Amino acid sequence: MSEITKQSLSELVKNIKDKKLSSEEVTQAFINRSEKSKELNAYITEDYSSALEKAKKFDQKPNLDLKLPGIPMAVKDLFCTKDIRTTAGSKILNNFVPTYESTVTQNIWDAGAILLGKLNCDEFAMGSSNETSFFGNVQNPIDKNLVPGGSSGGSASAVAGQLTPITIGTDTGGSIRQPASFTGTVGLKPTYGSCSRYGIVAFASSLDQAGPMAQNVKDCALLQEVISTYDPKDSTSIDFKRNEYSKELTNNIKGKKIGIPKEYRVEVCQKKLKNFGKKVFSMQKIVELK
Amino acid sequence: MSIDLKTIKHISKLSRISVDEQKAEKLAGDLNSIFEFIEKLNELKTDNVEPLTSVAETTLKLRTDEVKSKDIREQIIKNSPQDNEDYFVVPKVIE
Repeated sequence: MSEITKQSLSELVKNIKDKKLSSEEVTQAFINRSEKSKELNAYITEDYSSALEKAKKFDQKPNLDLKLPGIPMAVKDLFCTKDIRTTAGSKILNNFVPTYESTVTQNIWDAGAILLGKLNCDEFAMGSSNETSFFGNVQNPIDKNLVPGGSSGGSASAVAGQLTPITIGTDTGGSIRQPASFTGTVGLKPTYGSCSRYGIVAFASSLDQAGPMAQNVKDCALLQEVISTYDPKDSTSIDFKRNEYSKELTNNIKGKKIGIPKEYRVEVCQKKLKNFGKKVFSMQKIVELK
Repeated sequence: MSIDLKTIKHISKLSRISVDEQKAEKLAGDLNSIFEFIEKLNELKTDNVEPLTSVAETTLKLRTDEVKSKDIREQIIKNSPQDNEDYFVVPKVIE
């Protein structure tokens, strides 16, 4: 078996379900790795001792039918977590302890996951480099002289540095996708209305959306299955049938349509798109074939 | 639209954020370049473009108006910096 913190979410879930690993072992491994990676400044608030307690409790009576059985994970500090300080990367909320839980994080705990801590981000999610946080810059594990992107910079850095197997971020105008790209991880901004905004510190309400960040596409799909639910507490939450996204991942894209907004096909963009090479060309063909 | 030092000082007073002279000049420059950028949008011809109000074509759901949270007074004032019966006590900002 490979080193615990190097394993993907699906590997960890399988190993816990096959009883090859306990939640405590996995949680301890990610805590150790986080402790050794303090220079990344990925965490704002650590909750290690209570994470270990929860992991031990899980192991005593493990529910292996859950989607995230005993999986430890840290989340962006923009999600309200009951009784655990939530700062949104700002001095203004330095002493804010929510008395309620965001729907998205509640879904995660209900699926069996365990909170490791709260991750750094640009102040009130307003930034694209994680340099505006009151709690300091976050480093990119790829190179300490590089920013991890933002605003979910702590989340991206924590996944890339293997401080957490998966995490969640929020995306208003790129805050998941851009840091994922900067750190070589995978991030998804789901369709607006698929994940509840209840309990997320707001930035631009008609654009804000929570989404998964992980080492690979499959893990993103698994996490999306957990966080995407209809929620009456968010008036713009959409009541539609959620699919088992991880099962829809096949290598076959036959019959799929990939749309590129026609506004991107102006001359300037066209030149840049060409540099992406053949892949983009074949995508453009698909659009034209339609 | 152009922002001058006087406007910066006015906004700074209204928002209660103190800005020194040097910073004010830089801010005026920054804000002006932001406004110039926004004004560039006016060059776009949008006559035949349908307005996009939402990517999800859905209407807001109605719900019955009933009380769901009861006895949460303590929770609500838990984050008040200073206790005074059931009130939030904050520094005085209005003179």
